[in-house]
Amino acid sequence: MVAEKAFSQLRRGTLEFCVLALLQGEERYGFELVKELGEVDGLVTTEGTIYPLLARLRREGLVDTTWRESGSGPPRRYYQTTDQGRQALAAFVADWERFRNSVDNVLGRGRQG
Amino acid sequence: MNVKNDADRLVDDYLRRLAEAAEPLPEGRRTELVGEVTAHIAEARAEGAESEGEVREMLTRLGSPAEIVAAATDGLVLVEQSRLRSRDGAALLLLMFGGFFFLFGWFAGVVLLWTSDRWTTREKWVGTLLWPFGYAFPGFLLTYLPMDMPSWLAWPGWIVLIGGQTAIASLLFQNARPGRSTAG
Repeated sequence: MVAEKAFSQLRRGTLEFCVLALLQGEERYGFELVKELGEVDGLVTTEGTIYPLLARLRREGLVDTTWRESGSGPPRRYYQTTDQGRQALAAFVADWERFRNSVDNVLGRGRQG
Repeated sequence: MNVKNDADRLVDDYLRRLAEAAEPLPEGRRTELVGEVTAHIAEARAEGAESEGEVREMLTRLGSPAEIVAAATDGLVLVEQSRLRSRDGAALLLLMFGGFFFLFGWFAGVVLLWTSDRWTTREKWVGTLLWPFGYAFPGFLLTYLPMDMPSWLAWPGWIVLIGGQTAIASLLFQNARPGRSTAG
């Protein structure tokens, strides 16, 4: 239960960078992106909440959107990272690696000792 | 009752609950959110979520409308409610034009006006008592009352009747805000 809560907070904090990573250098429309994230084990619990997240990233200038015609059905809104989004992701990746190593280190130390 | 209808009903019900839950969001955010989720459902169904069971599973993966809207309100300090819901818009339209439907439509408008929380009691009285039956009122006068006024008097009279109705409707339109019915 305690672990569950911790993971829901971790998920909330890291999901937006997973979104930025998937949208880096490749534009995707919402459904495509959500499906891809949904297939990753343990990353997304409620797929619908990715849409408010995307809207926030757009308001913060980290992603851009473009409407494009689709072969079938109505036009789709495509998302892609902006320069600002790429910088935010790069900064996060550097910190994340340090953080992850530190946590692994301490957890491992606990197991040995 | 075939399978497709059941699936359609599930989707309709889901989107209705989402629109309702999203009502407190500012209009731009609400439209975008409902639009994106609607598109998601359409894409999922086009890709093969057809049966009632498949649609139900797809909606479960999306999460409940309340959860999605909660994610959209995250960090939103001021939650601004939409000023006019469709029922309030209907009230204004019925007050203006409902009189043409055997007068009944206007009474329906009055009921919607008084049961709405968007206006103060005083505004409700103004909306009810001034120019009853809306634009139908001048028509009523023209048809049933002897109108042998000289034309120099008749024209200003028409302008007052029609302009007054328009002024009241726009006053109600501009003043509509959530929760005002508690004010006097």
